[in-house]
Amino acid sequence: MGKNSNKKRKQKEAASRKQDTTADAETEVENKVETNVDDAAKVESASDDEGKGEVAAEADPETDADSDSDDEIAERKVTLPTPAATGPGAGNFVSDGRYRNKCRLLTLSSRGASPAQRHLLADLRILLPHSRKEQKLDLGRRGSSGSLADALREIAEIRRCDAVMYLEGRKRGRDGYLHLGVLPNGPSIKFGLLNVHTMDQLKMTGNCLQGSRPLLSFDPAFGDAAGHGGRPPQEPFLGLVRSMFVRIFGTPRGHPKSKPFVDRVMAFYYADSKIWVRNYQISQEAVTDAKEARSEALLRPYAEAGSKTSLVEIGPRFVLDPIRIFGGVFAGPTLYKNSKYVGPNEQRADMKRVKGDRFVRRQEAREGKRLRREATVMPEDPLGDVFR
Amino acid sequence: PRYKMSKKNKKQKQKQKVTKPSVTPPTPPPPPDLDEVDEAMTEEVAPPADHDDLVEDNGTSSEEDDEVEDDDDSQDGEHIESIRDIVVDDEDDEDADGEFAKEARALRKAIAEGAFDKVAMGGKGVLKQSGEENDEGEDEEEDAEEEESLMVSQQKPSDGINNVAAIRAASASLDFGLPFPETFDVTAAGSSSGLDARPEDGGLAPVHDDLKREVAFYNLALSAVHEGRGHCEKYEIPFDRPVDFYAEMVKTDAHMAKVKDRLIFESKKIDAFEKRKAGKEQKLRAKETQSNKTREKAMQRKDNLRAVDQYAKDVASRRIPGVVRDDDDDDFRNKGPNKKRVAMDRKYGFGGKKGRFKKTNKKDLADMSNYNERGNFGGIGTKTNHKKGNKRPGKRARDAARK
Repeated sequence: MGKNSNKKRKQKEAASRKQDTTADAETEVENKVETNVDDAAKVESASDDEGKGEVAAEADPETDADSDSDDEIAERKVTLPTPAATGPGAGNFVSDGRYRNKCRLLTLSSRGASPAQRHLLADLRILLPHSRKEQKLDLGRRGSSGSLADALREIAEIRRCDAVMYLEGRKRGRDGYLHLGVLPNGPSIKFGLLNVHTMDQLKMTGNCLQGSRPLLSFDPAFGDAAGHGGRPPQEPFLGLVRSMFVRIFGTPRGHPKSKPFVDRVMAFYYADSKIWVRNYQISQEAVTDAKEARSEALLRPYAEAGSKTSLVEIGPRFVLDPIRIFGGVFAGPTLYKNSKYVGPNEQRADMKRVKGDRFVRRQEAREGKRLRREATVMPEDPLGDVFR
Repeated sequence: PRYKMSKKNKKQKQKQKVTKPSVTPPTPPPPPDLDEVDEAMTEEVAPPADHDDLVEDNGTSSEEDDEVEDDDDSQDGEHIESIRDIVVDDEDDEDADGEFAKEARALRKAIAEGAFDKVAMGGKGVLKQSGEENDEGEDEEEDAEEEESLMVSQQKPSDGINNVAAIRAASASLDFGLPFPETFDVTAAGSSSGLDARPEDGGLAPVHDDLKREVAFYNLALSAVHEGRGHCEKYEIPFDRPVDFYAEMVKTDAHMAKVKDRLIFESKKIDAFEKRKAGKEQKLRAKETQSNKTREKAMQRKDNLRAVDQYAKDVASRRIPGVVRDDDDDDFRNKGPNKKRVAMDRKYGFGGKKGRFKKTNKKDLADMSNYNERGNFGGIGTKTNHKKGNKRPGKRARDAARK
């Protein structure tokens, strides 16, 4: 920590603080809503997005990974969690069924969320026993800290939570965003929330134990499990997303509210540049004939014969469109920005533009027709005068 | 344009009314020539701020997006003298008040002629035109992508940030290297889900086909479940829930009852539909088969009778009078008319017995065999002993027997 001089450290602090605000400003500008007066000033700084991004890029390769973490510590004045003797970070972690991997998840929504979004959050709270419920977050009311990052951090610190899931609804529920973040320094991700179907839909007939630990299934695109080597993910950020999901959507072992058997599998897939989420119930049925028995035996040579595994969807189901990954807690340098992401405002504008083009095309066609009419000279009809 | 014209007129009218006492009303403008349309219109028409009314909806507004967008310009704090100003009068264009009607008509005509095309296209259309032309040239080859690009905006040259080193560092900070029992983290089998692969024949990738997508999801999840079960076996974590393990479930019993009802309803619907379909089919065939059956029956009956007659003929042809063969059936011999029939005929039919029953003859007249000289009959009240006497049948019977 003594490596850097004070001057350099202060410069970096200033840079990081600027990065915090630009990150927020980018999100505000993306949504084209001016809620806070402060943001008017921040909008201007959004234009130097490239510059700030490059600063972030410079910062990292410039110094080694170790000193980077030191700098981060210096900037944010927060100590990295030193792995405790029997904590999860330790090499001698013992997994004996007791609650050691402690994780508390804060779940809250914004004020303008639609009923579907609120029900989705309620469903997720039921499925995640390590979640803590918090009241709706109204950024306008919170006079002291105007930014989302500060607000969430504050609430999380009050409730002593390690991770945050914030469901934001804008335009009175038309657009939804899901923010996932890990405290104290961890990265955070912002997703666009699409195609939400909640559990009350009667087409989803599955049911499972409340609090049972889910099996987290990942698409091959996410690569192999972290720490187990093997294939890398299709995109580098997917590895980070996977770790985040394991932290947030996985129930810690031995949690007091968790139940013993494995009833549910929560499946994540990566397709069409988006992340699809499904929940299935694992159900065992008696095998109906010898053919099925044989195929089951091939799939599960170790299990008892005569039963067939099948999946029934429980719900909820939704699609996450990755927008950005921040290095800090809903703030900080942008680690990943999705170039393929199109915001809902832009989508709507595009659709309207298509409609507008129709009018323009029609006008052009009329103009063209008029010109053609004038330009063409019809030859005289020799028999035109025959009939009156 | 008509509606917007009326609003414009209203605004102008209101402005006129406000300034009436101080300023003399302007003389109505001369009807503008078609050639001079542009200049005339730009002079007469309201200040540039109102041009937006004519331009197609450009989407941006100074009001907050959160509020409901409605075209309530008229209420924008303008001086309202009387209720008539507030009431939307669409007859503005057609009323006898000629000063603005003429203008309106001329303006409408001008628009139809195309005087404001530049304005209409100038905002966004011009730029879009060039962009569209470029894209059209490219997109001719890939029609399928054009479908998709209608949903998603045309790819602006947007930048992405991908700080791989920082991402790796961040994910490393998240992973504590926990073993499987803690994470329950499983990867599905296969090298890729195959959902993004577009088929060579063209068409959309399987992601966009709901059924294919869900089937692929199901299979991937199932493979992950099998793998997870294997891991759990290794770590001796109980996997299967016993049937008698009762605990609170994620969905309430009431909810599951509704689900069950719905399933029953759907299965009934399917059954009814299939029944109806099968019934229709059956109806089509039923008449055909029935007619076939009756025809067959009739044919059979005919054949049977014919066969019987044929056999009788054969038997008769083989019969030699006076010789009784073994296979000669009495049944096929001519029996003549029925005996009963004959008896009835004699009694009642063919004029009966010709009615001349009571006709005597010489012989019976002179018959004295029953004459009793003594003449001691019993008298009235005495019985005659039928048993001693000669039991003779009555006259009618005797006559019938005679003939």
